[in-house]
This record gives sequence, C-alpha cells and structure tokens, in this order.
Amino acid sequence: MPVKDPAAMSANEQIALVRTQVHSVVVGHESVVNGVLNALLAGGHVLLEGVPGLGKTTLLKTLGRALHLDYSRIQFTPDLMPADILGSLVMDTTDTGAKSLRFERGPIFTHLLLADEINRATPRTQSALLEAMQEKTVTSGTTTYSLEEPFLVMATQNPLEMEGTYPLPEAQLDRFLLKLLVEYPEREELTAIVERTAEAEAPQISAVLDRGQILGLRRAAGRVLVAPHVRDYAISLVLATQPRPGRPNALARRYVRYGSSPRGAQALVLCGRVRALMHGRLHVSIEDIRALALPALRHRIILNFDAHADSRSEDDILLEILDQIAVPA
Amino acid sequence: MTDLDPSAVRLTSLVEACHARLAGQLRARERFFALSVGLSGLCGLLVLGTRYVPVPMALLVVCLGAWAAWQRVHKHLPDRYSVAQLADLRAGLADALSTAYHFRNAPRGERNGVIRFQREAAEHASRGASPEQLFPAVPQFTRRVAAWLVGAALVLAAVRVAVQENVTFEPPLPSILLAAIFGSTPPVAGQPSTQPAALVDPANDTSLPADEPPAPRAEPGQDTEPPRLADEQDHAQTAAAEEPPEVEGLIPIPLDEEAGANGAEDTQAGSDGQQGPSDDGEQAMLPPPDGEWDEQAQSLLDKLKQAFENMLQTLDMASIDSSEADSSAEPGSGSSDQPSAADASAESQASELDPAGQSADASMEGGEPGAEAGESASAGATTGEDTDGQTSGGENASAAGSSDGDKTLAEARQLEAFGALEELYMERAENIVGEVTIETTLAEQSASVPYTHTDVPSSEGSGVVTRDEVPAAYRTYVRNYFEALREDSR
Repeated sequence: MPVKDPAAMSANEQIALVRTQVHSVVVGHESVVNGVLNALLAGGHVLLEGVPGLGKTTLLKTLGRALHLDYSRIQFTPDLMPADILGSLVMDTTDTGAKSLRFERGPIFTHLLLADEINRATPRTQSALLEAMQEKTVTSGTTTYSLEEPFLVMATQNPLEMEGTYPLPEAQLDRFLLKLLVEYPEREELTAIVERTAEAEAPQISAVLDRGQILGLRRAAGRVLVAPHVRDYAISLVLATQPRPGRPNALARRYVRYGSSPRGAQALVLCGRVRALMHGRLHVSIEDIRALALPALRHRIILNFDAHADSRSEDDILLEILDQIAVPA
Repeated sequence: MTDLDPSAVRLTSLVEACHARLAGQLRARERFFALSVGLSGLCGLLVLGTRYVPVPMALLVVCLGAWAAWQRVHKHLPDRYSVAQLADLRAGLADALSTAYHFRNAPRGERNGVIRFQREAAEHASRGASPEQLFPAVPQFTRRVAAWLVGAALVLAAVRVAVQENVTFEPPLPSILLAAIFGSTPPVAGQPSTQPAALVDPANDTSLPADEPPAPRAEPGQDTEPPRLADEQDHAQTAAAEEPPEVEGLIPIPLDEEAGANGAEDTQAGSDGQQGPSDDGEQAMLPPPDGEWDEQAQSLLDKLKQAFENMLQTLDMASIDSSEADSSAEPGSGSSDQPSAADASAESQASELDPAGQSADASMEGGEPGAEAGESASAGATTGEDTDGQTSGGENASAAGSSDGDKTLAEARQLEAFGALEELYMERAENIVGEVTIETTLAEQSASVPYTHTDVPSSEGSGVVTRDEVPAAYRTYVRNYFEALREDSR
C-alpha cells in the first residue's frame, strides 16, 4: 500500500465520494462518469455519443447536484440562434420611461452545460458555443463577459437520424477534451434501472463538494508529476496517428486521413494527471496514458474512405496503434 | 512544503543495485557469446584443418568475437533511468520508481512536497522488491551454445587424435576420415606417409577370367617405367601380406620403404615390356607382377571413390586426386595405357605424397601411347574423359558420376537451344498438364492434343438490383473516392 498522502488521498477520497453520489442515481456507465469527472477536473469539455435514453441528461444533472454547481440544458435545433445560447441585449424601461440596453445572459452562463444533440444546430450556432468553450468568454457588442470556473460543456451527438444534421467540423471536434461513447446497459444494470424507476421516491443527492474544492482539485492535478518516458509515450501515440511519410506508421498512412493534433498529446497528459490523482498517485504512469488514448484521440483522427470501406473504426485503429507502440523499457 | 532529502539513498541504492545486476547478466551473456564465437573458430579449424583455416584466421575470429561482445555490452547496457523503468514494469509499480528516480535531483520549488510524497510512495512500494527478484538469473542461450561448442570441439579433437597417428591439424578432417576408411593416411606437408596403400592381391583375384589379356607392354626403346623385379615383387607381397588387408582383395603395402628402390627397378622392367605404374620415390601403388586385376571389385572401389570425390566437390573441397590425375594425363602421350583403377588409386596416393605430381607424370609417361586404347574403360571412369575409345559424347563409364541421370534432359535442352522445339515437345508431350505455350520457329508446325469432352452445366440466373443509399456521413468520402478514381483514370 502506498503512503497516504493527505493531499493526494484527500483528493482521491473526494473524487470517490462524488462518484458514489452519482452512481446512486446513474446505473452503470462507469467509464462515462469517470470521463466526465476527468474532463471537469482537467478543465476541458466532453462530447458524448449515444442513442437517446441512456441517461446522459440524468448524469449531468446528478453531477451538478453532487458538486453544488449550476446546471443548464440546451436542446439544439436547426432554428436555434447564437443569441439563444449566449444571451442578448434587451431594452429595459424604467418607471420614469427611460430606456436602456441590458445584457440578458443566456444559458451558457452556468457551470455545467448540457448541449443536447449539438449536431442539429446550424454551424453558426455551433461556432458560437464552441468559441465560448475555448475562450471561456462571451462577447456581446463591445462587452466581454467571462464564464465562471468550473465550466464544463457536455455535448451529445445522436448517431442515428443523420438527415438534416450538421456534423461538427474536425476543427471544432478538436475543442473537446474527451469523446465518450455511451453504450447500452448490461442486463444487471438494466434490472437496477427498472427497479429504481419503480421506486416511489427518487434517491437523494447531497452536495459533497463545492466550487472551491473542485478548483483545489484542479490545482492538485496540475502538480502531478509526469516522467519523461511517460510524456514521450504520449507523444509517440499521437505521432503514430499522423499519416506523414517517412515514419513507420503504415497503419495510419493506410486508414487515416488526418491524424491527431498536438491537442491530443496535451489531452493525454492533462487527463493522465487527473486519472493518476483519482487512483491515489502523484505521478502519471504509462497505464494512464493507454487508458485514456481512446477517449482522448478517437475524435481527433479522421479516417479515409478505405477505413470506411474496410469497416474500420477509429477505435480499431487506435487499438492497433496501442499494440504497435511498445511500452518503454 | 518540506525540503527534499537530496541524497535519496534508498531509492538510488535500489536502482544502482538493479543496474549492477543487469549489467552483470549482460556481461556474462556477452562473455559466453564471445566464447561461442571463439569456439566456432576452433571447431572450424578442427574440421577444415589449418590448410583451409589458418591459425591467424582462427585467432582473428576469436578477436572479432571478443570485439563484438564488447560492442554489444556497450550498446545494450541501459542507463539507470531505463533500469528503473524496467524495474517498474517487472514489479508492477506503475512507473513510480522511475518517476521518483528522475525527479530525485529536481530543483526546489513549488512541487517539492509532491516530489517528496511521490518518492516516499515509490520507496514504500518497492520495499519488498529486491534486485534478485526483479532481475532473476535466467538460463542464457549463449551459455548453452558455448557448452555445445565445447563438446563439439572436444569430439572433433578426439576424432583427430584417434584417427591420426601423428596428430596434426593441417589436413581437413573429412580427408583424414576418408583416408582412414580406405587405409591410407592423408598427406602431411613435409612428412612422408607410412600408411599402406590399397592394392589388389593378385593371389586372391579369382574374378579375373583366364583369357584376360596380359598387362600392356611398353614398346622397346621408349621411356617407359620398368617393371618390378621378381624378388622385389615378392618382398612387396610379403610385406603386404604382413599387414591385414582392410578390404577384401586389397593388400596394403608400405610406400616409402620401396619407393626409392622401385624407381630404378621399374625402369628396368619397363624395358622388358612389363607394364606397371611408376613412381619417383614416393609412388604409392604398384601393380602385381601378373598384372591381373579384379575388375569388378575395382569398379566398385572406383565408384566409391568417385562418390566421395563428388561429395567433397560439393562441399567445395579439393578432390583427393582428380586434379593431379588430370594434370598428369598429358595429351598425345597415350595416357590411357594405365588399365587398372589401382593405378588411379596409386596416382591418387602419389599425387598427395608429391604435390608437384611428378610421380604421376612418370607413371603416365612410362606407358606406351595408344597401345591399349581398348582396355582403358575402367581407368577412364576415374578421370571421366581420358579414355580414347570412350570420350565421345562425354559419357562416363561409371554409373556413379556426377553427370549421371541428366543426360536426357541435357540433350533436350541442347535441342531446345538449337530451336528444335518439336522434339522437346514430343518428348514431354505425355506429361503436359494444363495450359501449354509452345514457341516454334517460323516454319509451319502443328501440334495436336487428345480430345477431351467437357460438360459445363448452365443455369438461368436472376438478380435484383437495389439502390443502396449512401449514408450522409459517408457521402463526402464516397465523392472524394470517385473523384480520385477519375483523376487516376485520366
């Protein structure tokens, strides 16, 4: 057993406490819950892909309650305008009849934002949201408003009903730190879901962390040590996804149209630090990098037609790359 | 935040111990590798002898092995950080040890507390791990190879000692074994052979027919080899009778004791018309006075010799006597006047005794040219083409020659080269299977094949054409794909 570091183990215990609270409502989806918490503590955003009805909204709502954070939800539709997200100037009339413009904040001014079916909005609206995600500021007229930390956007995509949708461009997909796949629950999990639905009272969620503690966890994650060989391993993974000539990555040259950007390596290291903290370690291991390779890189590589013709998915390519990239030493 | 312990004694000592153990294992492995290389050179020397593997070459192999081992040690010896990573991997420490080792000398700063806690956790996790557990002694492949090579070298040395009377490393081991099988000692440079040569005992020769013509006689006045005198022949036979014959019908005779005397005496015998092989003091083989040979046994012996010569030639080794015999057969001098294969065996022995081949020349020049052209079939088998009456077509009298069995194919290839393809086709027509392409000359030719009745079943087919909708997400790729196809087609 490793030595109990008060700071580290406190962080570990705090994160475990949040997980326990979330799992009192959300059945299963262990990897999704860990991924969302990881993105929250790493300061990024997460893209979820799954069919409707798998508990994505419930997950984020429960997380907001457990963390004592504000929560908003936006259902993206083709007629959704940027002002509907960011806010707009409205005219106020005082009792004396004087009129003034006032910025009415949109639903983006929150801590946890669920952008449901983001691919149904127009690119203009998507860009407005993604700009706010990257800069964490909203500009209206000549005034810039900062979004309060922590700020997490959990966008969802429905892989079905692609007609009339606007798939996110690659440049905007790169803004998401992780892409998580929400799978169907197993039989036991489905049984638990049905039983909980039949219960008369919904489980009570208590706030186990507050905003200050979450920011403290973020700072602790930033101090987690990353050894050079672990960092080099993350870089090797990212380079292996790039179909550049002159490198021994035949798999990428065959199936990958565009490889991961440097943001992929940043995401691996950032999320690796949080994962190490979750496991009670103060250093990142190669196992952390390998565990995060799929959610951190699957949306950063664009496959070519040959991959689609051969029914190869991004995960298939990444798993093969993980097999090819040898562990140092 | 507390300051770090700059020494990190426990962590450093563990990594140092692991590094020392790994380096020791690597050095031991490479020592065995160098030993294996050196033993390989020794085995090569024992097999091929110093004739083909000189001592400086063997020493060079040993030096190269040592140099390669030194290079491999320096190339594969990891640094301490890599050793720490390896220890992490083997102990399942999730890179704790290597991370702590890397940050042991980190400058003081904000992360001092984190580094100290991480180091303590790493040392605590690796407390139960020892270098012996992390890097256990494993059986090394190079050690087994070295052991096998030591055994092989001992066996080879024992074989040489057992076979040779005077142990020398000059001749190759196969030739020594061959000589031992045939009752002669391989030649040693500057050392006369004392091993008996194989001769046919005329007294035991019962296979020779009664009407066998006598041995060819030399023409008067020619420079021929003199036959043996009767008392010397008796002496030779007596000496040969003292030695137990190794092969039925063969009598070994000491060579160097009679070689000097036989030289002059053979000259006298040659003037009397007695035909026999001559030697210049080191001639090994002498014919019996009666000149009758067991042709059947000798033919078998020749075939055996030819087979072993072919084997040696395949192994890219010099034949025992083929080159000497070829060089001794002077054109136009009636070289076929040595009728027996025993003469060829004698030439073989003589040529090994005398590298200049002078004795063989003397024996061939001593015969009468063209006198016994029709009787030299057996002797011709040893050289392949020195017989006057059997040189046409390059056929060998022996069935154990290297060119046996492929004559038909060679002729077919010659015909093919000359454009007579129809003959090639006719020869192979029975074996043709499948599609055949026949290249012919411009002349009109015809080819016929047997009629084959073939039934091909047919059935009506039907299909349904459906329009497959391309999903919206793939339309871009489909369009790009077909655009790329169009560009390629242009």
